[in-house]
Amino acid sequence: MAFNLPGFKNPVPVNIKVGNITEGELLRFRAFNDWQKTLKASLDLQQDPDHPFHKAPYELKSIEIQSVDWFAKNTDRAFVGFVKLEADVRNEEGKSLPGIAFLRGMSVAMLMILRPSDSKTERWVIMTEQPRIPAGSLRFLEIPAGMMDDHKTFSGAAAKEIKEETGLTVHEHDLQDLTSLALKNAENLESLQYGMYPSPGGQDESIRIFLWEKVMDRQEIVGLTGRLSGKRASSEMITIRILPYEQLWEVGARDAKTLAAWSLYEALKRSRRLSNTKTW
Amino acid sequence: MAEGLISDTDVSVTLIDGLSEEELLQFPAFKNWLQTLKSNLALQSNPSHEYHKSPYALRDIKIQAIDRFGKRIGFLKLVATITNAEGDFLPGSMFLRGASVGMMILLQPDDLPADSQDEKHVLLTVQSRIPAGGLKFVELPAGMVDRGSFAGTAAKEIKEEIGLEIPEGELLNLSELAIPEGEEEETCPRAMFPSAGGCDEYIPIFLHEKRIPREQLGEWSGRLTGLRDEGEKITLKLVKLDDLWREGARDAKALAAWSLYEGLRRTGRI
Repeated sequence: MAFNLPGFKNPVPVNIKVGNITEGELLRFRAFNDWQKTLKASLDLQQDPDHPFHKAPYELKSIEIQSVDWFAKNTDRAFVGFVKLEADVRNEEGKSLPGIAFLRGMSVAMLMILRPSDSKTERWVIMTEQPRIPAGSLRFLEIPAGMMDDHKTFSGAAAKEIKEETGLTVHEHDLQDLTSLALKNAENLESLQYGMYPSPGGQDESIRIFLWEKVMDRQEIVGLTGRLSGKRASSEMITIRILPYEQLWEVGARDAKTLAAWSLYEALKRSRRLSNTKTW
Repeated sequence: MAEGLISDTDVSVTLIDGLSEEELLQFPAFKNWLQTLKSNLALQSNPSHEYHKSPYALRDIKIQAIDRFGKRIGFLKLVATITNAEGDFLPGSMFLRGASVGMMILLQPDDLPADSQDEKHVLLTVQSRIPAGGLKFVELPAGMVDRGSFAGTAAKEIKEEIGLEIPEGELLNLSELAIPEGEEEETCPRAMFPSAGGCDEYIPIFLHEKRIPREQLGEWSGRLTGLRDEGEKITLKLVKLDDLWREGARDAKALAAWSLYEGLRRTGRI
């Protein structure tokens, strides 16, 4: 199945090589739409005489859809999760740019810090532990990741587990956007997302990293750490952990999100660009 | 589309045209991933393992797409079916590409005292990254591991991407310093995983610090490098180490390097 993608200087033929997605479903997949819009904006910048590619600008010639994964298949909530494609991006000299892309869209990660009300410096942080088959691990430690839903609340499997285990919910008005704070004052060469890109050479994924910091009674924190430090329940996919903040960068040293969040939090704190912690 | 069993197991594999089972099993990324997964699944036989009562098993693997670089396999897209007796499953859709290395190269004017932390600069690359939709994406220098050791790949990439000759022995693996060996039950590479929910890629971060004449610092920014005949067009950018968290905030590798360097320095390990 093939159709032309509109919006580019010349129409871009899209060749769908698999039988499990239609043109309409592909165009409604937010990650695909965001990606092609962002790419178009970056390609348009080549019109600027100062652009390194101005003399022989690259053009998107065609796209081949190679693989599509649906989530919640066979239910009425089924949705496109991943699209793997190859984009043909070349200039008149025949030079082309690597165009293999695994599209999965944007997500969010939360640096959730709990502070006992009787200490100015002590901090605890919430992590998730779960199987991550691509890493070959059944016990991969990360800071919580997921999406922001239509109610501006952190959602997804990790958020659900956190609510169940700790009673805590994370709402937009309690968040500070660390990636935005960092990137606002950086040199921004193109209009890319204000997010951390785990693997820009292979994936579109960008992750906004938020800080959620809450002051609680020490007793409450002790209660939480006690409840969550036991053996994992056998049927749980995601287990919530609480650990001393000082251990975060080491315990989470395999997780790109953890190292990213720690660096942004530490650097923004040092440059006094974070608002004071709220007390509930 | 061929089907078969991986020998010595009852895991069935669905291949795609042009890919034989032998080639698949020899693809280092696949081999390493499978080995890691199998050894960690095997831990479930331990009565204290959280999934011991209803252990997960790898049932089958379906290869969906392949990208070749010349003759060799570059990337694979596959779905693994991993279920327990109750029918619970673990998400097994993944992009398989193997390891990369990240290189944190710090340059400092040599007119400062030897123990000074001032005026350290990081070399970054600026290049096209179509998946991110950008033609000027700023990153910590990195390269895919094809053959050879991680340090060897890092040294080779530094030479190709940056034009510096650094002996392997002068590269410090920050990830391995941060993640001690032998303290965990599971076997898992001691490296940063950019996207462990969907991709096998892991990236150890290497450090090299170099002192150069002050007047040479300026020569580094804007330099055009990269392997021309592989179509690489990389521009170098020099930023202050103090600004790395901001100027590299879109790049997982840059932020990871900042964190590992900062954390290891604070705890006196570098």
